[in-house]
Amino acid sequence: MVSCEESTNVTSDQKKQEELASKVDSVPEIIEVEFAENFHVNSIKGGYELELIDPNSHEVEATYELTYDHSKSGDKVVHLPVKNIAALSQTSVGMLSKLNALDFITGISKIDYVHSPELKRRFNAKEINEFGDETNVPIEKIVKSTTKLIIYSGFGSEFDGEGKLKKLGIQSIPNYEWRETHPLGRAEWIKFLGILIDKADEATAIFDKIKSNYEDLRWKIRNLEDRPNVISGNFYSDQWTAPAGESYMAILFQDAGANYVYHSSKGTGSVFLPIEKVVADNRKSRYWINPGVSTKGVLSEMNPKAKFLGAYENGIYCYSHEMNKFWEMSAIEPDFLLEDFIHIFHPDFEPNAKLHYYKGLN
Amino acid sequence: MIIIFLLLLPIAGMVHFMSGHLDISFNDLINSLFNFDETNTNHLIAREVRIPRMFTAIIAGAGLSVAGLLMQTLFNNPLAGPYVLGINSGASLFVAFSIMTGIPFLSSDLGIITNALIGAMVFGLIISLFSEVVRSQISLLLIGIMLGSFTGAIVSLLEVSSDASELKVFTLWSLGSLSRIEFSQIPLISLVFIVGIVGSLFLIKPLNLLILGQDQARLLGLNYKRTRFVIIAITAILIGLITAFCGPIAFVGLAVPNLVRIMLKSQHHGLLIVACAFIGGIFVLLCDALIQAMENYMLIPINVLTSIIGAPIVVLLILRKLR
Amino acid sequence: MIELKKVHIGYTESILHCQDIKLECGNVYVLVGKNGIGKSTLLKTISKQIAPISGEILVGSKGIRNISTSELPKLLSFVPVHFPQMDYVRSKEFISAGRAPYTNALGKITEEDSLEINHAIEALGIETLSERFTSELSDGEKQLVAISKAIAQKTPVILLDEPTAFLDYSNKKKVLSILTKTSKSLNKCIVLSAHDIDLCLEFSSNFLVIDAYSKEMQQLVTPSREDIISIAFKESE
Repeated sequence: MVSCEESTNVTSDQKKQEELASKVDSVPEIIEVEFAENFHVNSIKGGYELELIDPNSHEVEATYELTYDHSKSGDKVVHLPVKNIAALSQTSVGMLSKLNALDFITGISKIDYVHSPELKRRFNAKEINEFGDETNVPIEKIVKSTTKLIIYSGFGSEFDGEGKLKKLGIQSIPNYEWRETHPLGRAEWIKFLGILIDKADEATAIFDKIKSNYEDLRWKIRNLEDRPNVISGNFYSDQWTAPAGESYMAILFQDAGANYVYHSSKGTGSVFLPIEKVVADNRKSRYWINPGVSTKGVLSEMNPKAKFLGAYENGIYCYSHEMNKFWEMSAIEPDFLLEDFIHIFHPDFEPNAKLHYYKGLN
Repeated sequence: MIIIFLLLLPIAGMVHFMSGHLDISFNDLINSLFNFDETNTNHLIAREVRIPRMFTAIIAGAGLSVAGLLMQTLFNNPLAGPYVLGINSGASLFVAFSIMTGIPFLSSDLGIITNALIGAMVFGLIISLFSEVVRSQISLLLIGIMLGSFTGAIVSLLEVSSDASELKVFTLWSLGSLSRIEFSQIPLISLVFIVGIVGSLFLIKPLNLLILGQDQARLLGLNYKRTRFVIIAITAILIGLITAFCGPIAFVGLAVPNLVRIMLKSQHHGLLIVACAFIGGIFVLLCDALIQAMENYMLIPINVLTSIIGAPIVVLLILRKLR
Repeated sequence: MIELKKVHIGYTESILHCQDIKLECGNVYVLVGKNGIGKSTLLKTISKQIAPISGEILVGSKGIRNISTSELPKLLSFVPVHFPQMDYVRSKEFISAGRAPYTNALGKITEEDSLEINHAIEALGIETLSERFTSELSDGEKQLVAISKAIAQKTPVILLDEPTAFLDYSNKKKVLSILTKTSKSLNKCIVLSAHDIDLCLEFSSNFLVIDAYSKEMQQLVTPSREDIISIAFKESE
């Protein structure tokens, strides 16, 4: 029995070796990137060249070589396929879970931020570690965990300890999905994860499905005449902070058949508006998305002026009751987000649909 | 002198009113008070946004300045102030407790005011106990700063262990804001404020004596311990009220009393209290008018602007003292 | 006016003591002793800033223990060695503080109070100083203003801690002569500590001398310079 098992192992190992050897010498199929603007993938001999693009200058910020050729080494070389990943960005966890690859994860930032029941179970069984976020990584703990690659939410600079980890053979790549302004652009980053874990084809298939869902939904509602006014954000200190007109959320609102009140504001980040303007502009706005709280009680405590907005009575929706689910999964499920918004803005369109992420505030 | 203040305050009020984002006529302002039409957006903005904000600016500036004056005289130290002595942070700590414990009564308006008041009072008493032991002015300030850092650390610990929505409420509160007060709260807040200011007017004689130093004041018949308690209680009422509604606002309490003394060249506290109340109110009104005027270009929390203006004034004062 | 009955004074343990001593109105008493022997402590004890370790002190005819905080400033005024450092206080305002024991809770200065204040200013001839800020005065002028405040306080007893310490010769003389005159004209019991024995001998015949060794204070009337020095500053026994 024992010898039999060993021999099958040996053969499967041999098979893998051969597969790897063949990949080292060939150029893989080209992976197209349609919506994401902040990464490119070029196919080269033995693997891929991953270019991360600065969203402001549109120039290449960093180039990583993802290669099956394990004899190569360098500052920005990652050996494929990657097995043990510390997924410090929440969206990368969601994408790996979509790829059915949660067993590749050796560590996460904080268990309190995890939505996936599977990951929680593995954490409780001590199969994965908490590493905190990239601003304060525990180097020895990471080394001990056999992690080979760290994926973190990038903010344009290396994190402390990145150099040390590289010397110890642990590579890291920033995840810039949050810089994408098109909802499908964010989801497309699943292709980047797919390449890393040798599931590029599956990733492409998943993305194509999301894309067609998203575009079908847009097509279906194209003739709806009612475009209710919608506002987003909340008061912080003495001003209102709202997504700018060219931002991810603003695009989703428009795609869902609403009129985002500040859709003509410039920029992809946030805009700050005087309280007076927001109250004056939105006395008749029907919907208020993402106040950042989950009950009206907290909302009115946080900002007493909220009740002067038209949406206050029954037009406020937020994901705050299931924050982890939102941050983990929404980037890879823009079709569900769009579905939620369509259902909120046009309740008669598909009256029986259920909300995935959002809930009305009571 | 008082006539000048009585003229300047409404002028500053008008500047503040006109710096608002929307064009709202003076008529709308008056109508919003006496002939309120809820469906009229201009009325609503004037009554619920602009007037409470103006009111808050005046109350905050006046209250903090008077409280700062009381602290400076009590501790015989021109660099004392509610912020430097850690009295603000006492209020912050207690507010943090009240928000982050999640107990509904504690996080109600009244709960937060009461907690801020008790916090300010407790820390005022702690610092006054230290003031008996340390005679050096600098040491007392250092102890105040240590109290501030210590409570800052405790607040951070609370933040780590509290849930997201509580944390959000507290973070917002700690940014400081002049927009939290609602029109309907104005009477209650005015009442507490007037109690504080009128209370301080009854302290004119003891304050004038404290200028001569604690020992001389006692020898002239001052009951020092009782006076100290009353001064701290009144400071706590003012600081507690303002901290509860506006969050921490730095440097007003430190800079304004010093400016007023230099302007008036007097230590007569009757005059100083009135002048601090007016100049403090005018100062914060004008700061906030500036913030409103810049609203389209950048977000400046009130606490940041008062620090930007106040900190250099304080440094100038120190240099002036050293010369 | 002041009676000391077998008093031991000090902060935690006795540093200075005396048998029964009586001080009368109309006199200036000069307190003499080595540095650090406890002259200031004694003055602070009489003015109830420090409690005596044992014995009894009477001011008027009442034990100071039984004199309330509001009553004491009508009996006794105290001029500390250092003039308080204050910005923006005019001499007249400072002198007015002497009326605090008599004014109401709001500190309103009555007509009577202003009369007393003007008297106190005239008594020292400092009319020209009255509108100036105390922070701008010379040490001598400060001392005159401080004494004027004590006079405005209208107390039978005035205690002064080294009133001549920072003054030049002519100011020392001026202060001592004003105090002597005041003690007679306003019938006050004045106690001052000083190191200028020779000068004080010119103005007063009443001395309180602290024995350098036994730490006992004794009252000497018309002593000679040598008597004082031999008791207060003897080298060894």
